[in-house]
Amino acid sequence: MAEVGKWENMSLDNISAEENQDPDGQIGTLDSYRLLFQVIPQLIHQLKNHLTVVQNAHFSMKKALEMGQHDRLERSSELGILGVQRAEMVIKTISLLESMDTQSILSHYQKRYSNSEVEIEYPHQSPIIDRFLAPLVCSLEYLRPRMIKGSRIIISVNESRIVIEQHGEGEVVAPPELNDLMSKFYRFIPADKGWGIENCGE
Amino acid sequence: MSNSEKKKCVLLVDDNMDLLVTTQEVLEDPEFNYKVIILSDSTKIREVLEENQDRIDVVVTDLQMPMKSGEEVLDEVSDFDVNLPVIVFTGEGNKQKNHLIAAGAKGFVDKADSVHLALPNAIEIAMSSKRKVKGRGRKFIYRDEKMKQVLDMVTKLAAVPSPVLIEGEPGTGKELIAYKVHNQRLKHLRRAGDQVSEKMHPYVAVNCGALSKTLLESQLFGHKKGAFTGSVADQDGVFVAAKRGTLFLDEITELDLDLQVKLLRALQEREVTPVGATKAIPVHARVVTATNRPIQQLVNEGKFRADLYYRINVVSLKVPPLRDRIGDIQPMAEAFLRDFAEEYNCEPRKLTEPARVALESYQWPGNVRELHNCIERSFALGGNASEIRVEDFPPEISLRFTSDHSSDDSELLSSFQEATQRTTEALVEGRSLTATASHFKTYDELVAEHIREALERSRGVKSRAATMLSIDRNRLYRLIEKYQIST
Repeated sequence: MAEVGKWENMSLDNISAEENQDPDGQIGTLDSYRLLFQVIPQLIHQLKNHLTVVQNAHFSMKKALEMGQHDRLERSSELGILGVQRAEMVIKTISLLESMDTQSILSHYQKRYSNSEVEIEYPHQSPIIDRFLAPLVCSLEYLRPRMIKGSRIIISVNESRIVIEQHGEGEVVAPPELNDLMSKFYRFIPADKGWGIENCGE
Repeated sequence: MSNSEKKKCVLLVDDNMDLLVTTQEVLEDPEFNYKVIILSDSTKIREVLEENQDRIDVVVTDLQMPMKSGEEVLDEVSDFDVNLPVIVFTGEGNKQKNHLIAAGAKGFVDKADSVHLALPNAIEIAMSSKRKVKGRGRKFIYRDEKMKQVLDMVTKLAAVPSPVLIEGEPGTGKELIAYKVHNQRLKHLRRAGDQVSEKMHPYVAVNCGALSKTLLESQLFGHKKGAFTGSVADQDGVFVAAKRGTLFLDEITELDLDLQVKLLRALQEREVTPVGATKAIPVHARVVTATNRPIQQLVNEGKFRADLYYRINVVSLKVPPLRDRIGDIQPMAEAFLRDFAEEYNCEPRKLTEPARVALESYQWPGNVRELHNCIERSFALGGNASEIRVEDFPPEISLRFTSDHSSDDSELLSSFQEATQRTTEALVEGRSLTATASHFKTYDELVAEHIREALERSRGVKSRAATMLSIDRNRLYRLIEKYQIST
């Protein structure tokens, strides 16, 4: 696990990403949070989608009750419950990101992906993978709507880099473009079945 | 909304299937009564728009989608039909609201708002904006590669405000192209981060062949109060009115040689001097011109100034005539049929296979305009409520088609069999044979029949019948006399 960050232990000295990128590729805790929390807007967007589903289902259930439409009531309540469950998963993702616990986060993504019938394999207890938590989360969020049912994502460690491979039917998704902040720390290198992630400091 | 009214159709685009299904259910509830088409793969937006041409009244799209973003969907819809309103329905908050509204979105709804409270309201507002501009009919329907090349060129022209000369036969849609040039330019400016508005970047069109020299000069360059009889106030010309937008000068070859000199000066110096004024005013609009005459030949004959020709002809677009893009005829005809069905509030009609072949075999000297009139006429006069048949077309199309295809042995045989059957039936029923003996009607008979039908449908009002027949009233009178039609 990476150095567990607690907001109260952080120094403002850590704020500049460039200043804190030391030669051995270590990243300050605050920068790690900044990198990791870049996915928060995406998660909020997902949350709003799920809540919209819940609101819509509520409207339809009310109408179904008024009009005595039992099938519609059942269908709407199922969709509503699904919306609530998915919203819960997103909220849990946000709270897990705050913990920066790589294994818990990856295990949670495994569950989220399994809802879409996509498997994730990743190495357990690898100290290297901890250093790539932010680009990994960024990659998994990027891949989630792009993977097709029945496919598999394999995350592996190759010396000082990690590799994300996609297996199954459908075209291999190219890596996302990195924003300025992320590209100060990491490089995404396209490969046959996905991409490798390297630390810029190495 | 009452159930008897035609349901308004919403195309809903989002990558979240549950959201699509539940939102569809809300909007289709009798409280709102919309017809909703859902699309989870935004890359297929063009296909869906083409499949449902004219059925869709408004597009509601998410922004953040994996393959094609909402912004790209907005662009695609605008390319397809600039009048089709788009509402952005997003969970990303208001951060892009101003940018998207500037890019042409007609509404913005945050997913945090309840769908049943916010979305129908936004849809109604957006559709009212559609109704306001619909009459301009600025929709492009094309499949043919030649037309695609012209439109690709238009897209490339967006980056530079160079003058454009559009050449093409009458009725080929030169003004549509001019408007597209304008629209693409605005899109480019928006993408570059410029503040773009209808007010500052209007599209202004003038037909140079429609006005007298004096009026045209005043219309182009403006005039000062008292410059001529009746000029009671200062008036800006279209060069000034077009501001930083586009000035479209149609039928440019109709310009008088004196006015050509003044236009050349305006284009070279980027300033105009209103009639009666002494001081020039700077102008900034992009100038797009069009002609249906062989302009190069007019230059050679000294009827059009060579220097002006070179100034307006920085980029030349040649719009192909309809006969050279046969692949566009069927989709256009079908789109016109849907338009008329909507306009006249009746069921849409389909082209029969022979009718399609007849349309594709005709030369269309009047191009798209003629096709439009032909379809309108067939729609108004056609005897069948569900189909448009060859015999519903004007004689120049139906007769040509019939004579072209009558040599076909199987058709001859079938028409002989039909005639034989009718004759037998008539004999059995003791009716006269004169009406059934000859199946093939003469040209005169067909024309007379059409005129009688038009008069019947217009309840004897000749001006209305003339409009239905696309001829003027005097000609109708002459034809009534010629064919001795009782009125």
